[in-house]
Amino acid sequence: MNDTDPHLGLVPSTSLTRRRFLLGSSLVALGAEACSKPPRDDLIPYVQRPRDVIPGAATFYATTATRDAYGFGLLVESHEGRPTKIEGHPEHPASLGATGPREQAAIYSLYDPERAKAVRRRGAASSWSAFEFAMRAKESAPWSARGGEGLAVLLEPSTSLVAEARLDALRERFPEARVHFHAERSAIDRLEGARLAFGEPFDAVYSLDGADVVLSLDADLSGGGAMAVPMARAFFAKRRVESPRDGLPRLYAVETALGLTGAAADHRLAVPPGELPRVARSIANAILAALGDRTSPLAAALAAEASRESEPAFVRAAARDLVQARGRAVVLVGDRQPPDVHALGHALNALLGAFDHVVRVTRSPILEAGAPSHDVRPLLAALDAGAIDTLCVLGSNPGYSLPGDARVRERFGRAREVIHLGEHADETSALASWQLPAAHFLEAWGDARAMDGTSSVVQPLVVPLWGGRTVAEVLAALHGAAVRDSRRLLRDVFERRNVDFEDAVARGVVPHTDTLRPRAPSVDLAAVAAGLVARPSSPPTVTLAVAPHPVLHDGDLANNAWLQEMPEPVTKLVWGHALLVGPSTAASLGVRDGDAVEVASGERAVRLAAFVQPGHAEGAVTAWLGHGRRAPSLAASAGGADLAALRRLDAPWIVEPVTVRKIAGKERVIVTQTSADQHGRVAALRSTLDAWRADPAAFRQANEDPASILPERLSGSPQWGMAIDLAACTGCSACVVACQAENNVPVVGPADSALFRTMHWLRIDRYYGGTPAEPEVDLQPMLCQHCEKAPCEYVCPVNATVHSPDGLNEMVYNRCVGTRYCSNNCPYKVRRFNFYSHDDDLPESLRMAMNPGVTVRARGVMEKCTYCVQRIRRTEIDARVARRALRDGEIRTACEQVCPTEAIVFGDVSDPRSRVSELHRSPRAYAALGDVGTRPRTRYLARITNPGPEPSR
Amino acid sequence: MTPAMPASEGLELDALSDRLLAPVFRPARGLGWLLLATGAGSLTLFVAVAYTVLVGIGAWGNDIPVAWAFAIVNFVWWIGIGHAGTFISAILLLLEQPWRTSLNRIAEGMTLFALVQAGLMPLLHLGRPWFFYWLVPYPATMRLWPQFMSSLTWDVAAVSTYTIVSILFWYLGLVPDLAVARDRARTLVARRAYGVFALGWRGSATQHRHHRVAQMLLAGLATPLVLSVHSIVSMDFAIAKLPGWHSTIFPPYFVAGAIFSGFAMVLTLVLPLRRAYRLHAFIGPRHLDAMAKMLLCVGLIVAYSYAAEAFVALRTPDPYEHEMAAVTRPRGPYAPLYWLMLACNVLVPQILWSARARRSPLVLWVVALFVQIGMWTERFVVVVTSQHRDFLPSSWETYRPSLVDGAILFGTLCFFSFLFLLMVRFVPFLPIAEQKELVHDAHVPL
Amino acid sequence: MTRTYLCEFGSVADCERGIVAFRDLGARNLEAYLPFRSPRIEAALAGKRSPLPLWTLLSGIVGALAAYGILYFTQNVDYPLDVGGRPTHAVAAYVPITFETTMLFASVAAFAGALVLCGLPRLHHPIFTVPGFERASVDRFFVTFEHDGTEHGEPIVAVATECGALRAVPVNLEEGAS
Repeated sequence: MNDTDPHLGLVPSTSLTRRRFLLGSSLVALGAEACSKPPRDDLIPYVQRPRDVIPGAATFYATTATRDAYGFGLLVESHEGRPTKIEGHPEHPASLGATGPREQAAIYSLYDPERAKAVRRRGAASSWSAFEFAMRAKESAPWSARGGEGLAVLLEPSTSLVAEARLDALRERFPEARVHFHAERSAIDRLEGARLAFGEPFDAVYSLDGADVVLSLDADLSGGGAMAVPMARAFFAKRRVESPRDGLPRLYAVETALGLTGAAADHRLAVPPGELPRVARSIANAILAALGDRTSPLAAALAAEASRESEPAFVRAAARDLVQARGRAVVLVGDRQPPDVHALGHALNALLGAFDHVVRVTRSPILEAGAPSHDVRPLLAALDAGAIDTLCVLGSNPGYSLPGDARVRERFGRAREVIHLGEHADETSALASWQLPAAHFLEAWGDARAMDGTSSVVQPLVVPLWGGRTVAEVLAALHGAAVRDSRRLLRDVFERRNVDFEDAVARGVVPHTDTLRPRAPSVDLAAVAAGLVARPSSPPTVTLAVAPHPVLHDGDLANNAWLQEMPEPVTKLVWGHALLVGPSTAASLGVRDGDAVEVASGERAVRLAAFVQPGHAEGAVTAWLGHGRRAPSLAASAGGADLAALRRLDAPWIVEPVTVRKIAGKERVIVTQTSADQHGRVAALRSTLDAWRADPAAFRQANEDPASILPERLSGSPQWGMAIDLAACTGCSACVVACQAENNVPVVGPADSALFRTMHWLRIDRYYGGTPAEPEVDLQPMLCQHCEKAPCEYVCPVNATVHSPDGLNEMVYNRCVGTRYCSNNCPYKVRRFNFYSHDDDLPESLRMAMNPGVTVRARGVMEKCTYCVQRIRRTEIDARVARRALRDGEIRTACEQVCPTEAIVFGDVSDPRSRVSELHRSPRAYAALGDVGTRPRTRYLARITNPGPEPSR
Repeated sequence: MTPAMPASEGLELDALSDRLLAPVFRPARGLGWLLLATGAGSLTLFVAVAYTVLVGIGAWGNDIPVAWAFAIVNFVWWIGIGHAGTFISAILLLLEQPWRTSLNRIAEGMTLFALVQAGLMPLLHLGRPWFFYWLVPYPATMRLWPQFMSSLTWDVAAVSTYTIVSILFWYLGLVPDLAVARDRARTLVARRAYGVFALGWRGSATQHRHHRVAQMLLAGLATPLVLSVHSIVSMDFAIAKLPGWHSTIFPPYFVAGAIFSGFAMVLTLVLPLRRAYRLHAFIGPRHLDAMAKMLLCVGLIVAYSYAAEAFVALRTPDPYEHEMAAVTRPRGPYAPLYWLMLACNVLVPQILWSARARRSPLVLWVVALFVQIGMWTERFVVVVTSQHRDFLPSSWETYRPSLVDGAILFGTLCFFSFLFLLMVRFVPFLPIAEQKELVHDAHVPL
Repeated sequence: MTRTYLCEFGSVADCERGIVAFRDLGARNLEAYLPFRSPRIEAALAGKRSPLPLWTLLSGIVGALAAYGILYFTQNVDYPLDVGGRPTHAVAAYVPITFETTMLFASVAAFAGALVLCGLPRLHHPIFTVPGFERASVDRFFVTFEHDGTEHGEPIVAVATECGALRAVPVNLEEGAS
């Protein structure tokens, strides 16, 4: 079939049809179709149902995703061999049962119709066997004779034991071969800083439940970091105070662009990226002074510089609080900071006594961590020297992600053969002579280790849809390994470590494998002092801060429509990026949202859309990676500009000085929310701890239902309701994508997103208070409130939306005629209308991502959050079958289950002992727009911040 | 009282018949071309409708929060226009205003054709128009019934009833005149055609008696209908919680607006007609004056409604209503339309205080056009402006009509004109029997 | 023996006088045909009171009961649902539809009733065969009546001419006559 999606510009989907897939034998069929050899494992067609598979009933399998190479445990829901939904693995230290948007969206990546689907040799169709043959043949692989001289392998950083085994084998067979890891500079600098401080490239793991004062130097508490979930959960758990008497941890944040960490902070300082190390030092200086240390080499080094400028109030306050909270204070340093700032951070943590209970370190599980192999520059030099005959790029996409001065296009051209293994036809495969389809991690056998060393299994949920293979398997092909089967190799590797393989596969997580050091490591302050790089106070020019896209990362996720349409948590941008400009900088440039601007460094320049971002540091502008894709794809349809031209290998995150000027024309900027002021309405309430202590009943009135002449109609038990704690919500938007995956929420594409027709059942509203220069950010998940007196219901002429006896606001899709009156009358505007048919032109492979428990909506009908009614009914049935009562917390909505900070709680409000009832009784609880008389079943808990006496903020 | 036409001439009755039938038997030159043009214009409507049904409401500019837009604006506007017809022929008949006779048939015809346009809109507006019949109660296999608390079901009842009654009323009045056309027809075809529609009217005194009774009854029934229909249409908004809709003043406010735009439309149509067919004898300065006064008077009621609505909203403790009246309308993204509305509907009609303006066809016609524009704008302000900024600021977004939206509006205008011209061509649009009665009464004082 | 006569007049006044005169002669089933309604002639013919208003009223009442009945049955008896926490028997919400249906039934009754009473539709009627009758819708006033008089009806003609009739002739208004 060759239907193309008019909204997405998707390329035609493949011959793969859902019917053939769902007939179980299809697995075999697929295997055959994908790789021209029979599948590796025996698969039983459903015509003879396998013992442990009940058609219609979901089965869960444990597997592992990776975040920056570190393991992230998952449980994946599968229907008749179709993975449809991803949940976190409760036993995995990085997940704790929660996930982020990127894990949720992995389902889309698996079924992405644009995935690389066959081995290609110089553009022509080929096969794996042909590739393997070529790798063994003398003439096509001359290096095989010369002990691998002339062979270079470029991999993504990995923590996999299987990959390690393969690499060892490769090195054994080809001692002369070059192995390089294409690591982001940030990963290298972080470990470099650790080496400075500890003498070894340690990973530091933070358990913030022990921290009362946190200083974040451009760190990310709630984003996609390897250990973001446990950090966020621990920190925000302490922020959800139950009574005004409780204490509240205080968060100081220094950053350039307004991020979620800054949004959550009690005090935020916005500085240009080049200034941040200076701020770090003056804080360090103040701390040392407060600690009475004036003599140590570190103090001396810092004092020498600090004396040159006056410290802002922020620095004084932060230093004071950190020292006062000594032992319960910690400094977090963002990945993109240079090594000496990382080292300084470790030093401060040592001085503040944070080690041992707040911070623990471990030898990094990253393969060859801190080794020169993580630097690509020698490889590039070798290419220049013509020393590379065959370059084997496994997994990453250096053709796009390496800075411009890497001159990838030209240098790769110097190699006779370029082999690229990737999930998509991308910028690198365009340069390759062998294009190999990579296996998605849901199709692969393997393993990964978390930052704390915990090992976990990567287990396939489905035979590779397009015959993709893993890095380890290609490495095996390269050196003609004896053991080809990754599963067997994994078993061997595990059994060599005395791990029960079957048990490990079943559980996913291998217990007792974390390698955290309980004792405080010694931090060499002198070395840190010596490592400090003196920076000239930057001239008053504009700096360009380059950052990975908060959702799409460095572009490796850019082909994922769910993530492209997931509003970026702060800017609410979808389908593209922009140049983030601070309010007064914007004023001086005379630019408004959507104006075209040119950012030039030297003779190289890129054209971007301006976007005025409150709270952005003045004197600097920010742009995100992941856009301006060249390969024709969904990612390319997001537009934007490739920043490679401006970036340099040695300083990929800061480009200075740059000149920014407004140029003629407009550039596309699509946001899903244009009004940021709450207009004093009861939407996202907040208060400071002091103010709340002064008036503990501040929120009571907003939690009381206004009098109503309408009869009381809802009685009996259960009565479903929800509570959302704004003090815990970080705005990470995992719930948004989780809801999309669970409820088959369609993607509408850029054109309709621009017309405010996105379909998300759950959105996160973002409001700005305070001043444009120093905004106070409020984030509020907004979904159907399931009002007891629902205004949407009584205006529907056909009974298409009515109330269920257990308090659900039900939407009857096949009764809806689409008057849209319900949406008009919904004060929360959480109803979504199918302006087009989003299903008809959906590529077949994406239909396999559909949750069979949820109706796919037709054109012209209204839809909205159902409190995941399919989960409610399923659990009720199970309970009835087992002849037992429902347990509180047994039913978890998709958004609740995925939330890293457990900010969302669903349950029975008619049961006074349920968690949700307790939260509804909280002194922070209130009903959004309760004054409209809708009696919402979803209650919010107001956010309490804890700013110090000075600075104001 | 004085007759509807200058009595002195004492036209003989048969001459009068010829005179009144002239438009039918001796159509004005160029009418054919006009029919062709408007007919072609109507095609844009049909194309746009087909496209919408094919791809979905996405073809329009609607979004969330503005889920209702052009279609509903057009609906309310056309329905409103439909009101003047019945108002003139029914209420003025009951009030025994003889000057209405020369206008009522034109007005009633206009009503019907406006209703055709209006009726199309809510149908087309559905996400799944092919299920429109789910809004009427019938024993369905789903065993489900409509939900009668929704004003949309009231709409169905109101609009369909109003359409049916208007047709009956119009046709009933037409029967005797169709008989005249039958008896004066020159060709057999015409005689047969008119004969069929005349139902064999013989003009017996008995028939005249019952005919008149029925007319009075229908007039009596149509009068509350006129007032009810737009009241119910207004409830499509008034029963909602939306600030800017949630208002008890809506029914009278909408009825006034409807009659306002209706009279404006009558003037827009009658003045060119009068010129084309030299009807000055039947539609004299006296009619223009009366119409102008109606326009002015109803305009003042509308102006009062605006004032009252704003006043209430500004005095209410309800913050949402207050912001709508104090900020969103006068200063929001759609403020220009708000002020345009006030200019057209409140400012411009004031010129009609001057007697000279009231008797000048040109001035009247221009004022009428302004009022049409003003009333359309008013509906846009009510429908769109209220939706685009309601309760939760996070969902405040604007709306921009698409090309299809424009095509549909333009198409309805063409289709309306097309139908109206058809009537002018084939139907005696000046009531013959009633005119004769007037003339007779005028000559022979009782 | 009884015969039917037809007289043609040029004005309402003459017609009216004629009717009175003929009745004095003992004419029966008097009927007038005129281009427009004339209360004077209707008075002269002394027709009965029209039953139309009563029919209309009754039909309206039926409509009202039917409408409210359906509303009540569907929302409260057959398939009651919790809609927005509102009461299922929402009297106020039932008013508009009940009202509209009342009006509809009444109007249809008035229209249909009028047709019945006028004997319409009836595309052909013997009187159309009378030469010159087409002017009845234009400018002439006809009177028909039955009278059992002399062979040639001299008295009728005399009275008619005296009342200003343009002609007075015996006609045959039997079905199928021509």
